[in-house]
Amino acid sequence: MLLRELKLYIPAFVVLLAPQIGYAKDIIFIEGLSQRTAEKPIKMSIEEFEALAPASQIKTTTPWHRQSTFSGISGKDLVKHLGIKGTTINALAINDYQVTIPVSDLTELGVLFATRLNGKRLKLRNKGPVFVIYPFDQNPSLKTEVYYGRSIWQVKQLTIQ
Amino acid sequence: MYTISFRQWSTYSIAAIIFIFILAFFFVMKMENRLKESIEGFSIVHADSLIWGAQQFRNDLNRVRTLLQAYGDPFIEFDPSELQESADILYSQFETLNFTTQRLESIEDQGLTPPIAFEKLSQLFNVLDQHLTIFIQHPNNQGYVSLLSNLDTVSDEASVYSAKILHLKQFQTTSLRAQILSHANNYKLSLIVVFVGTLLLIGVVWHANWRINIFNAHLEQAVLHGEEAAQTKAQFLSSMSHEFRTPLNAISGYIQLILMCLTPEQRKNVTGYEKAIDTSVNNLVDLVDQILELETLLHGNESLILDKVDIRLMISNAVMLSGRQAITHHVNIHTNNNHQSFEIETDSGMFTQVITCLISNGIKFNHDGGDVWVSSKVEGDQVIIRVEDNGIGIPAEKIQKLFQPFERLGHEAGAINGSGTGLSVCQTICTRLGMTLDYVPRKSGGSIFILKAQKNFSQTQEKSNSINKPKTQTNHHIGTQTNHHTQAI
Repeated sequence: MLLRELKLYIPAFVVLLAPQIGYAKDIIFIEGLSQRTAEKPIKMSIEEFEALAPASQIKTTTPWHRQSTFSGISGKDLVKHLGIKGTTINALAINDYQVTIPVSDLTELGVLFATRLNGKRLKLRNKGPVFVIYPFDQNPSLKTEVYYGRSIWQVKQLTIQ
Repeated sequence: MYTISFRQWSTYSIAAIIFIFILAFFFVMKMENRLKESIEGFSIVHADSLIWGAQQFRNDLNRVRTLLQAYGDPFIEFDPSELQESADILYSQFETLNFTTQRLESIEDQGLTPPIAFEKLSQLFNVLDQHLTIFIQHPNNQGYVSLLSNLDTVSDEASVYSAKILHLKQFQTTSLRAQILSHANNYKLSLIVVFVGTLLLIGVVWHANWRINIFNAHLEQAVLHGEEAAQTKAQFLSSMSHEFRTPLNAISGYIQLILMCLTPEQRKNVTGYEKAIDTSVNNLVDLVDQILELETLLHGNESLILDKVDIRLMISNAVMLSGRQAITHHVNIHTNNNHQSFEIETDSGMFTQVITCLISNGIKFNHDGGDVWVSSKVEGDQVIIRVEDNGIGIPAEKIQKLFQPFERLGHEAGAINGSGTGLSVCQTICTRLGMTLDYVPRKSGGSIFILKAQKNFSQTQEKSNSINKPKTQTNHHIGTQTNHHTQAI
């Protein structure tokens, strides 16, 4: 029980283990098995990330928010526009917390790579720049420790495997 | 009868067992749901998360302190942007802690209210955050010293907060344990209730079955005795005819012979005695005959000879047969059959016997100058025959016994002759002929008997108890009839 509960806080806790923070704000790295990253990793600002596809929205509660509207790039659009060929995505947070998200979650469970909360850009102070959100209210079966653990925030890098 | 009762018992018992099991099922389901809710409630209690969150918050504070101390150390490069990032992460952690705290259930009676416990930490952190922001923008020594002090204060308060949450968690764990034990006890209780209830029901069914078996054994024995008694009775009645008639005929014959030996003068002296003996013998013979007749009817040994008969003719014959008796008893018979000829399909002999009996009763149980009215009325496919008299009537309390054999309704010791079988015979005949015979008290004294007969004989009623054996003394013998309606059943 304790270990499972811990997952909720790992993104913030592991920050102590991070050897160096040296990164630029609001920049996301993408690499791995996709058409656009086949030759070399791509680095894009959060504005460029948002411009990858039309914005999608999810209105839901999370263990860390009251009911809110999250907007950003839907998992489906990300798979489509990056031409993802891999089966999993390794997401790395600013504090070096990382999780592995199956690509099937992106295509079937309606995952959102949120960049905005109630229309406002997510900052580091409120778990930005990218927050992986599952539609918990729309699909109550997602309200488990597994999907809470995959809901990584302060994402800085995506590695497609 | 008892077999049906046993089946009913079995059905009720099975239904009750099913009901108890359904009840128990729902009870257990309810208990299970409560247990599940308790466990789920426990799982959403974020006490553990908060304890760990508070610890990590303190770690974040330490990281901020480490980065801040670079300002005071000439050998380490101070990077404000790095401190800003740590401050942002610290704020993010604080917000998560704050949100989770608000969702934690309070235990009011224990004074454990997480939001209140968090309030002081929140105030201290907000001050720290403001100072951090100012310091990052304008680093200075005064701010540095102040920040170090603030960091210590907030860290200490985070420890206090963590201890309070730990206390809350321990209390909630104890409470949940008590709840789970309570539910487990309820489970046990429900199972015991179901078990005992089932045993009781099985016991009741077993006991009922045992009692029913005893009743059935007694019943079978009673039926056996009844059959033996009926057999003995039948044998007695059939021998009674011979055993009674023979001496009675002898008495009657020898009286005649004695009279023949007497001179006319001597005869005049004994004429009264001769009449009394003769009447007594005749009454006794009639009684035996009626008993035998009733027995024959009750056992259905006599076959029916059906024919189409005119109702008016039958009534006239019956009235004519009763004429002598009416004259003797000084009773007037009135008939009213002002309807067209109406034929019914019935046994004319038995039918006449019924009408004659009803008229005879009206005459016998009457007074000098009394009246008997016999009328008939056609209604559709049935004829209603009404025999009414203004005689002594029947007491209301004895009407129930009216059609019972050998029941004389208070005239057992009276002057009116009879065996008490007349109406019983009538009722039996009517049943066999598919007719109904009812009694209605006459308002101004006397009796009214109403006989209803259908035009067509109800064969289904007679089918089961008739024997194809025609009477030899009737005019409607099957072998001599030309009427195509005549039939023997």
